[in-house]
Amino acid sequence: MTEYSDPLLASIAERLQDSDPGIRRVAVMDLVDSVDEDGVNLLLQALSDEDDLVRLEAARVIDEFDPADMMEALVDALNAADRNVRNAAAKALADLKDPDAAPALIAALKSDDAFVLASILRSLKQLCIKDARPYAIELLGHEDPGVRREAVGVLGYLQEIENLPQLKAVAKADADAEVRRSAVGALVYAAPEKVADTLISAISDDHWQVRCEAIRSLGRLKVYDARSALIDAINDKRWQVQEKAAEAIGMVGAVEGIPALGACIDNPISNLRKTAVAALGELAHEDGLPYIRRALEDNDPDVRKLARWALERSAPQGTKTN
Amino acid sequence: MTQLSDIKIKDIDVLVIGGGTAGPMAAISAKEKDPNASVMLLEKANVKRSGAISMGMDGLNNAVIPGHATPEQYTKEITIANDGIVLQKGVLEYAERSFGMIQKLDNWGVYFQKDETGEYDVKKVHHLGTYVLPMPEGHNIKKILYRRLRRNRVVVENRYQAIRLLKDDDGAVSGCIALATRDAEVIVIRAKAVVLCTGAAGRIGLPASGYLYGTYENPTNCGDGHSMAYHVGAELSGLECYQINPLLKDYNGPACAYVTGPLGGYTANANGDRFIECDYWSGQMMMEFYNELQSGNGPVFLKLDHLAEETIEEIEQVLHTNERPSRGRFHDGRGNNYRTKMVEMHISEIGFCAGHSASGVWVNEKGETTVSGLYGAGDMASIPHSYMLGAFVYGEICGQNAVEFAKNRSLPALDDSFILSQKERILAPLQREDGIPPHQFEYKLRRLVNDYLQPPKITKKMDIGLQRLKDMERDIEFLYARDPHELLRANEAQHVLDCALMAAQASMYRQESRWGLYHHFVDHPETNNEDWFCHVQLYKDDNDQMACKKRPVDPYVIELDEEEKTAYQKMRIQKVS
Repeated sequence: MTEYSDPLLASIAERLQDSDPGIRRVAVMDLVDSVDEDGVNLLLQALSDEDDLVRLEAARVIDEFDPADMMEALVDALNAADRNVRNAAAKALADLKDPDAAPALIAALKSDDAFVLASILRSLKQLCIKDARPYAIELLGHEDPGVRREAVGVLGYLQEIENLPQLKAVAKADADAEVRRSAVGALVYAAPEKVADTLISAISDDHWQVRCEAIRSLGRLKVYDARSALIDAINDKRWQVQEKAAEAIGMVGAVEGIPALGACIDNPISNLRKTAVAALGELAHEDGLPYIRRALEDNDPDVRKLARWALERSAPQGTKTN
Repeated sequence: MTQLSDIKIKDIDVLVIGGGTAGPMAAISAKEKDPNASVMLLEKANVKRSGAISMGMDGLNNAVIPGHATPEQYTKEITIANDGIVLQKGVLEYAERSFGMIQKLDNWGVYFQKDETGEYDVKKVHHLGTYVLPMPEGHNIKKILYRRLRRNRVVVENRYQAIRLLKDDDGAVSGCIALATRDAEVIVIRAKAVVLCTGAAGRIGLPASGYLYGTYENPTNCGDGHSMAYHVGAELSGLECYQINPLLKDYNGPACAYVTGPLGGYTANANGDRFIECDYWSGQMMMEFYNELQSGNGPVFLKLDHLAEETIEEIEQVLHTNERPSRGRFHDGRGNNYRTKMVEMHISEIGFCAGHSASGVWVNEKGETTVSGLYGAGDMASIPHSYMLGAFVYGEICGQNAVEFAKNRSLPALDDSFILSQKERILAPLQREDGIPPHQFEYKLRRLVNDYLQPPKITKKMDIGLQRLKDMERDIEFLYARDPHELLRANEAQHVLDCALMAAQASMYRQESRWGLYHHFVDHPETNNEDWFCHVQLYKDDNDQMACKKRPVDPYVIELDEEEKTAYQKMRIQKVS
């Protein structure tokens, strides 16, 4: 048994030898108060305790310690028999933003536990490791949507042109809305002309959050060709989608969207009125003036404030002060 | 009679007082700069659970990220939000180090919200720039700091309440006297440099809920640092610029409009309509809030019931899991559901907090107070609108500068007679057989604050309030503590009393109105830039009396154009004509 100079650790070490699992479990709980780095050795010992509850307690406190000090053990723990230990180890590894961990993480992608796979992908994502690419592409076809979502994340963070076909395919056809949404969001790293078609077709997705993400991406990329699709989207049955569409019309500079934006000025949802008048201000076009003037009388102060700003930008020289 | 040899003395290079946000960062930064220096982090509770940060954090309000905002733009915006009374150099120093700190924390394992390509997902909430960066797993941040404390071998001393700072013959700080909160042992920590990171003074007024500790701030933040800084001779600044915040009615925490805002939620009146004109988190905004509460359109609500199910689930995930788990239970108990009902809001009791307003112990852009060797960071120090990221940045600045200061100093001499008299004073409530329990003393004191000191400020009320508070100084010698825990409370109550006296003195001194509700002085309703475009510094004078003086605002490093200079005035309510 290792000798510990820190009195708290020495006491925990002694209690971890006790035959009563209850005493061992409470000893593990005390580990979090230790400021001594050597506590990690005792944590590792507890992670392989024979008692379920002791291991569970140890798994709970994994993230109290610096994962860099126990990387090997955490990678080993990914294959532990106990699911709690596996999950906690995977989560701690995800916190570890250390490129040296990449080979071990990639090697552990053999796991058949979906949660563990997703956690490893999440930690690889943050490292932006090129070697992770083939694994991520393969796991885009995994049966678990959580795994597919994290595989999209890895490819999105890598921002490589060659991964666009796969991401576009996921954006179009994945069965899970959150996976499609993340792929649609990832496409913004590409040049607009390479992804415009996929993003425009995603405006018709069944799920409103995918539609919002697609419109947001089109706005960020300023896809001018998306004008008519965005103007259509302003009639979406969800105000959240309408709001994103109004914003994007302003961002891409679609002056032909002014009447559609103008129609939103009377919408009962104030968030939509606010975004529409802001978009009219972005467009800064005379045709927007009648709508902007009406918005000056809105009962919502945010709408009025944005209307004043929009008026400044849109009015022809010399008429600004009214 | 006790002798100094009976008192345990610990020697250390850098002493950091307060284990919340700025404190751990100061201690870690001092060790990172000089691994051979000895650094102690002193905390009256437990570093793992202390400070505003441990009540939950969901994001950064003031991230200055290239591509979204510039340090110059940010400095302008804070200058406007503070109605011009700022040490711009201090704000700019924060702004320039803001992004570096985000990257450092990111590297340490803090999760900031990113888009699907790994870029920071900054949200626009403020008027000029874009500063809000959500932190979806903010509850982990304390664990991450603790890992760093371990790695850098910082000495952590939990359950010691620092009560008075010590200084040497040259007037430089030389450590503190502290009380062990479990066994009432009084010890001395002798240090070459001290960093105060004791948080806001959030326990000056009584919350509307009536609960003594149901404050907006973490109730442990009772102004220990403000009181210690005052007694050791440091200047405090802007104390008349109170902190008053919007919050959920009867729940001791913020409503987090910053979380819900980007998702479509907003603050509404009883009709479900927005009413706030002001674009800045400022006293002007709080004035509008206060007026709406007083008007026929109140009360005020957090409106989320128009949002989609998925969005509400996301908000619940952030606010009830990360921010404060008790919040979900509070809503359940009231039968509140974001989906179906607006949630009633109110305004908080008054406090001092540089995180949200500008009130605190005066520090410059190096984190230096006006006492040599004494530094200050976080909500306690005077850099305005710093929030959590400002606490981290100034924690880093102070840690680095304090360890440098300590390097050039030998171990200071101790003032034996002062230490012995303080020990006697501190322990006195425990020696008595009977007297005033600390919570009664504190309740009375904080009720006086609500009755007389909170805005609207009125000279006649302030006069009475000040007199009653001074009368309470006579009650101190009757304070009675049954055990070490009550002794801690007795000491805290005295710090609260110091803060209340400071709030009244500074408010009376500034004979104008400024910062909307924060300093709404009925007898002087106008802002008077001719006489009062200055800081108000509060300090202990040569006769040990509380005194105030003006400090000119340093020339701006970032000039404002004419329109920006009057922007604060334009925030007044403009109703539809």
